[in-house]
This record gives sequence, C-alpha cells and structure tokens, in this order.
Amino acid sequence: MKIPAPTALTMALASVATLALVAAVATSVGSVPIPLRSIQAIVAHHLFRTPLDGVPASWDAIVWQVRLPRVLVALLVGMALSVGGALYQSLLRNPLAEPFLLGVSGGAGFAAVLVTATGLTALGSQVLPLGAFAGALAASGLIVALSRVGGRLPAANLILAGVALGSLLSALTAFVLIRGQGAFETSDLLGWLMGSLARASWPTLRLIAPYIVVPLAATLFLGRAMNVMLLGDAQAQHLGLAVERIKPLMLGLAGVLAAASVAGAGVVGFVGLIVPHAVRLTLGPDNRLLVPVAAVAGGVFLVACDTLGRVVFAPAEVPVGIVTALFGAPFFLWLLRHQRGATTA
Amino acid sequence: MSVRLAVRGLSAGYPGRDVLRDIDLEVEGGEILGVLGANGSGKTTLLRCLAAQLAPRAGSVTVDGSPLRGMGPRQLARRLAVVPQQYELPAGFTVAELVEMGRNPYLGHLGRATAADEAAVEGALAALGVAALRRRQVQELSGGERQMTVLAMALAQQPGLLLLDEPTSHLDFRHQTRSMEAIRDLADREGLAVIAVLHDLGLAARHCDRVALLRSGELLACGPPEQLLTAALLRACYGVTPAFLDAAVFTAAEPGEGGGLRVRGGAPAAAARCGGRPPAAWRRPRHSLSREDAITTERPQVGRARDGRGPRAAFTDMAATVLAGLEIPAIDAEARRIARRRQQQLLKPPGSLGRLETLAVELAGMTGGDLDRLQRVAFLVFAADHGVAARGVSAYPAEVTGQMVRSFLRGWAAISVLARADGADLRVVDVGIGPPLDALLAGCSTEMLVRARVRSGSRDLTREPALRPDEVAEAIAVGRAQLAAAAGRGAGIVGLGEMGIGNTTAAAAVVAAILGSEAAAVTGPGTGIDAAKVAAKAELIAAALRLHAPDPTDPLDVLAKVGGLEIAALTGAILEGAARRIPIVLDGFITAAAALAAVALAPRCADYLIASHRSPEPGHDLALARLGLRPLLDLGLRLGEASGAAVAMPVIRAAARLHVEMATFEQAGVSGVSP
Repeated sequence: MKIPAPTALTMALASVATLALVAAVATSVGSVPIPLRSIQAIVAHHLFRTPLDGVPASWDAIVWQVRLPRVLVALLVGMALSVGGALYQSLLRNPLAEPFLLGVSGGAGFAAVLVTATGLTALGSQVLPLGAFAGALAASGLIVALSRVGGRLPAANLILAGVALGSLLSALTAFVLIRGQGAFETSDLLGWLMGSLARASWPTLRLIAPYIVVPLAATLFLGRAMNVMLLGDAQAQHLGLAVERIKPLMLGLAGVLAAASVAGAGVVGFVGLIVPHAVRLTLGPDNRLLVPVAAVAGGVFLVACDTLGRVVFAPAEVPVGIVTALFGAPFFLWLLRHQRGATTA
Repeated sequence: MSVRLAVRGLSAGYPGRDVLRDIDLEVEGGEILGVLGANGSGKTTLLRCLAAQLAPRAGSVTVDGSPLRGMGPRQLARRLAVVPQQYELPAGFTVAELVEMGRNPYLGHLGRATAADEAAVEGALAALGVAALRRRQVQELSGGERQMTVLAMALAQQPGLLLLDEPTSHLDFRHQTRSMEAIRDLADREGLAVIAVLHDLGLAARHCDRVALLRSGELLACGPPEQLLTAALLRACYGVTPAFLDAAVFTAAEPGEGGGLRVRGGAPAAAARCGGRPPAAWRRPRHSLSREDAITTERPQVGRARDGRGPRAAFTDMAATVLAGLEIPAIDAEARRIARRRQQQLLKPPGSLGRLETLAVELAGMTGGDLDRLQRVAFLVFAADHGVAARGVSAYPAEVTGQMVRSFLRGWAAISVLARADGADLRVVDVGIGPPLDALLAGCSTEMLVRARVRSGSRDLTREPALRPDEVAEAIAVGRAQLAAAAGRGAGIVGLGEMGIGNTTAAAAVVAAILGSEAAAVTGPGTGIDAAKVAAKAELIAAALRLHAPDPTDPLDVLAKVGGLEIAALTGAILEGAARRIPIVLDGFITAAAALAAVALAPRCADYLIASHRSPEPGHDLALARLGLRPLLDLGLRLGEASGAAVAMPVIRAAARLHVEMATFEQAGVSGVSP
C-alpha cells in the first residue's frame, strides 16, 4: 500500500504534534493520575517561570523530576533505535539487521559491567551511561575495522564480525557477572542490561540528546541513498552513489544512535527490528518516507511500552526491554511466517 | 547526446592474476559493440574497467577525451549506465520506484523527482514495452521481467554509454528481441553507444554493429560480425566449432573459409578495424527476427559451406556413428535458377501463384529439378511410448499409443483416411510402443506395420535420462532405414509424423534444450490438457532440464536425456531424406523438435525441409523460426500422426504439377507483359 507523500513541512508539524501529545499523555498516566492541564502549567512554570497556580508541589516533583525526563528519554531512544534499525537494514540488506547486531550491545554491556565491578559508578550517576556509550562506540568501531577488506566494507563481513565479537563480549560480561557475585551490586546492572528507563533523568537526557538528534536529522537526508544501497554496492555505485563514502557515514550514524540509546535505556531489544518492518509493511519500503515515519513510530512505541511497564504492576515496574520483547517477539514470529520469499529488507 | 569511449593499451587484473592485456577499443554514439569470448576470457573484467569499478594496471579509458577515473560518481552515472550480470532487487519496491532509482544521479538529497525525472522513467518503461509492470512489486516479477526492470533503470539514467553484461540471459526469445530492438532504437535515435557482453552468437550477429572477440585476456579480433563470426575465428576464440549455430542465420563465407554467421542487411567486405565506427553503409537495418524474415532469407544459402569438418568437430564418436555414410548434398543452385526463370515465363502474371511459386523453386533446388517424382508420396509415422506419460502430462493414458496404431492399420484414423485419398504409401513404425502389440493387433492386417522396436518405451525423463546414447543411435538408425526403404519403394517426397502419448512433453524439452529457451515458453496443451496441467507440465520439463542439464550443442545428448524413441527416429529419417535429396514434409511440433536435432547434427538438412502447418503448440513457432521455415497452412491442427503433412501434401503436389505442366506464354502464343 502506498500513500501519497505529504510535503515535508506537514509531515514535520504532524510528527511534532504527535510526539508532544503522546509525551503529555504518558506523563499524565501513572500511580498518581495528573491532568494534562496541570502538566501544561508545570512545564510552563519551569520554562517560562509562570506561577504554578494551585498545582500541588508533589505533582510538580512527579512530573518534572520523574516522569517527563523519563518520557523524553524514552521518546529519543525509541526514535534512535528504529532509525538505527532502518539504517542497518538498508546498509546490510538484511531483514534481521537491528541496532545491536554489530556488537553495540555487547560492547555497552561489557563496559557497564566493568565500570560497576571496578566501583567507578560511585563517582557519579552518569558514569554507567557514559561507560556504556564509550563501550558501544568502541565495539562497533572495532567491528568496522575488522570487516574492512581492501577499502571496502562487505555486508556479510560486518554481520559475521558483529555476531562473533558480540558473542565474545557477552561471554566476558557473563563471566565478570558470575565471578563478581556478592562483590558488587548487580541488581541495578541486570535491570539495565534488560533495558530499563528507571534511571532516566535530566542528566541522562542531556548526555544522549545531541548524539540522537544530530544523527536523526542527518539520516532524514539519506533516504534516497538508503534506497539505492538496497540494490547492492556495485549497482549503487553504477547509479552514482559514492558507496565507499556513504557506507562509513551510515555505519557511523547508526553506531552513534545505537550507543546513545544504550546509554539512555540499556539494551532495549526489538524496537529497532520491528518498528522499521511495521512501517515497511504498511507504507512500503521507500526510505524517504520510512525514516521519518519510523522515527515517530519508534518514539511512540517505546513511550507506550514504558508507560505500560510503569502502570500495569504499579508500583512495581516491568523493565521496558521486557515489555518491548513481549510485544516484539510475537510480532517478529508473525513476520517470519509472512516474509517467505523476500530475503532483503 | 553522442559520446565516444576510447580504450587505449588497457591491462587489468586482480591481485596475483592478470586478466586483460593491452586492449584497444573504441565505441561511439549510435553503435552497438558486442564483446564475445569464452568464460574467463576477461569480458566482465573489461566491463568493470569501463564502468570505473576496477582500476586498470596500465592504459586508459576515456569518455569524450576525459579520463574515466577522474570523474565523480554522479557525473559518471549520468554518462554511463551499467546492467550487471547479477543484481538484487529489494522486495516491496514497485517497478516504477525501482526505475526511478535510475534517476539517482540527477536527484537531490531529499530525492524528490521532478517532471523531467518522471518523463525519463516513463520513457524507459515505454521503450522496453514494460509500462504495464509499473505498479507491480519486485517479488511478483518473473526473472525476465526483473531483467527488463534493471534495463529500464539503466535507460532512466539517460546515459550516453550503456554497458550490458549478458543483458538477455533471463529473457525468453520475445523479450530478447524486444529489448535488443529497444537498445538498437535508442542507439539509432539518441546516439546511445552500447557495449554488450553476449554469449549468444545469434544475438551478436543480428544486433551488433561490431563484435570484439576476447581470448585469454587479449583482443583476438574486432570488426563487423559478418567478417568475424566465422568457424575458424570462433574456433580460435572458444576452442570449439559452434556446431549448434542457428541454421537460419548461418551462411557461406568466402570460399575455403569455414563459414560464418549470416548477418542480415549484408555488409561489404573490408578489413576488420578495432577503432571507430563503421561507415554508414555497414550499419544494420533494424530488424525483428520474425518468421517472415526467416523465410525470406535465401534458403539455398542456409548451411552451405558447413560440409565435413565444420559441424562435426565438436561432436562425439556417437555422432560419427549416427552420421556414418551420410553425405548431404548442397541444394542444386542451377536447378533453382532454371525453375525461377520458368516461373517467370509460365502463363500467369509473375508472382500470382504466391507461395506456390517459391515452393516450386525450393522443390526444384531440393530435387535437382525433377518435380515429377513428387507425385509419389510416402508417409512414415513413428510410434513409441514415453515413461513421462505416467506423470499425467497428457489427457490420455499411455495405452492409447498402441490402440491408435491399431486404428492406423485398420484404416480408421485421420492419417489412414488422408493417405488413402492421396494414394500414398503409409507405414507405421513401432520404434518402442510400451505393451506388446501382438495381442492388440489380433485380426487386423499388419501389412503397413514395421516392427523396429528399440526398447519398450522411453524412461521417465523427469527421473532419469529417457534413453541411453546407444538407444538414441539405434532409433536414429531405424529412422534412416525406414526412409531408405520408402525411397526404395519409389517415394519422391515423404511426410513425417508420430504417435506417442506424452511426446509433446519430450519434444518441448528437446526444443527448450536446443533453443535455450524457458520451458514455459515452449510448453502447450498437447492432446488437450487444461492451463493448470500445462503449467505443471512446464515445471516438470524445467525440472528435467535442470536435472539432466543436456548439452545444447550436442543434439544426441539432448535426445538421450529428454527425447524419445520416435523423435530420434524422425531425426534419422530427416537426415536420410536430405542425403537422398528427398523433400521432407514436417508435420507439427514433434517433427519440428526432431528437425532441430537433425539440423544441429547436419545443418544442410534444413534445406530439404518443408513445414506443412502451424501448430498451436507455442514452441512450434520458436522451433520453426530457428529452422528458418514458414508453415504452408495455419488450420489449428494439433493431432499429429502426420495428418498436417498429409493435409499440406496436395498443396505441395499442386505447386509441383503447376510448375511442370503449365504452358509458357511463348508456347500458348499469349503476349507477355507489355513493355
């Protein structure tokens, strides 16, 4: 099914409106329901110093200190994961490609375990996400370096090197976790490894926002190139694409997006895999449309999952990675049943 | 846009391996250059250098004087489009969206298409005649449609130079012709320069202005195809003599030379050149290979100069056995000349008897001028069973073969009636009917039956080779012997037919193997099965061809793996008839399949064939086009058993009788055409 492409401006306005609405609704939902009007007042108070006008201070704390940063991080991470997934699926021409395929999760996880085990986390709340960010970037950089053959980056090499290094890092992570049992606090770490937004805060948002917003904006301009890349390196080159420049650029953007999202919310599975596929199945594979729509859809999806995880067993929380997997796994299986014959993303 | 590509002293290769050495080439706008050569001779490497995908070790490639390597990718893609041998098309995209990707070098970052882009996309789709595919998604396309899509993508680039690597490998005959014509048209109208790596020598001969022959990385020769596609050069290039050469395009070269591919439009002899474009006079007129064309080529030239050494060199000892003692004489050119002159003088406006006139001239060439003997007609019907009949490829069970033979002998079947009406000599030859005939034939006269059973039906070709090579040779020998016997009984012309439940399946497999076409393109309803069964039949045939991979250049291998006993016997009869200057009237699809095999064994026997009628079986047209034959009648006959040949026989005899018995203007004292 194809819908006529709306103009860029209408799309941008509709996207911002959708995201703002979803963020507002998600912020209002929780163990304490907070009306949208009050949320508006609280946000205005913090941005424009307007008076709070009878909004309870506890609501202010809940919205401003707890829910809003968490919702915004979820929004950004969801966008980053699904756009990262779309980039990898186009780059690697593989329907199963997702942001954590190229060792990003392994690198981030291992780095997170290392900083926890060595006690560096005591230095500040942002040490864990920073460490994860660095580990993720290092791992994906290493994989790109290992896959390079004669100035080219064959997709098969990237996938194989990613899977191999990912397994190695997972093994090391598990090893350190088991050896360190009792020696350091692992429960926080385990939640994070599953993918959780419980730690999200304004500092987290400030840390990851630039690494998500800038690559997202850049990717919006790559839709055409991503389409042509699906034809394979040689044919893309014949069609005038500077493949050996575009490929590292796409890998870099996807790597930074994945690293930033892992720093923000740990290893949240399935979003980067299923959101681009869902968009592709409904709107078609044209990346010029797919990238912006997947960004919005990913943000909405992760916010919705996290809100569910917060609310269903309140006050206990289900880590968002579990909720996305609960939704994602059945969808993924359905996809497998219906993707016969089509081997490229 | 006219473009000029020049290659100077090009050497290239891969780490540790030299591939191309010192290549000089030039192509300019409006010209199609075919690159030929054996596998591994460097054709694709050459294209990769031309597409700036591979840096040359030495030498240069320039487009309009500027070196290729210096151009940016977008600049390059606007000048030069590439259709690779292998490509992937991402699922979910429609054909129109894919073809629009051809506009990539013109589009901005947001990739919005302008009116000019849309016009280019529509133009490319229309030029290839695939505009109807516009909204189809990739996963719904056939292999040929995918190839047309990739070609359209390249045309949408509006390049000055088009590089094609085996552009027609997935295409059926119709799409091959259509896409090559579209490319020819663009070359002529828009000045597109084309370099195409081709494996099909027939395509190269028909569509290329010049061909370059590569051998182990060196340019062996470069020039017009009519000069280069000779047996000697092709042997030097490929290491074998292409005995399978298309009979319709094969013609005489210089005396003493092995022979060359016939190229329509003709060209003056001139030294082969490697640079620059041939003078306008050499340019080939655009041409579709229709059946009209095939017949209007001068028949006597077909296959000439292919005597002795040429065709057989590539064959096996088995071929030598099968062809032992067989000497097929050339058409009698003198008799044809005399006949043609006589047709001008007969008491009628010249040409007013239409095909009957050309038919009489052809018959004169075949028989050496003795048209009287054509009034003595014989029909040979070869009958055999097919293991593949057990796979449900026919509307009738296998027992019907034997039962029909009984009907032939009792005088009840169509061929019995027609042969009787013609006073013709009919023989039914059992080459391998499954069940023993004796019980079946109790009480009926067996005077017309010839018992020459090679084995009890062929094996199931979907599982194993249908016949052993020695069984093929034996069946061919049966066919030769029966034709010789008919000649001994005084036959001057022989109509051939067959009976065998399941034999359109075998025939379609033979035709597909020899023509290299897709099974579906040559598969039809046979005795009358529905569309679903036709599709299943085509699939069985395609699977059998994949399973056995018969060598298309070796007709005996094809007959053994996917043929049948009566088809092999028909092949033998055709060979023997040609050797005896006896015109052979083919019936329908199955006899055409046998004729393809016979012509592949001995190209000259094509000159002694007459196609009686046009069968509704789809493969028949393709087979006749390859044979260069135009059927006399189109009556929708699909019975077999030589009935079509028998219906056409009175027409042939009429042509002969008119030629012999009509008076000339002079004899009748009638004034000729006024001056």
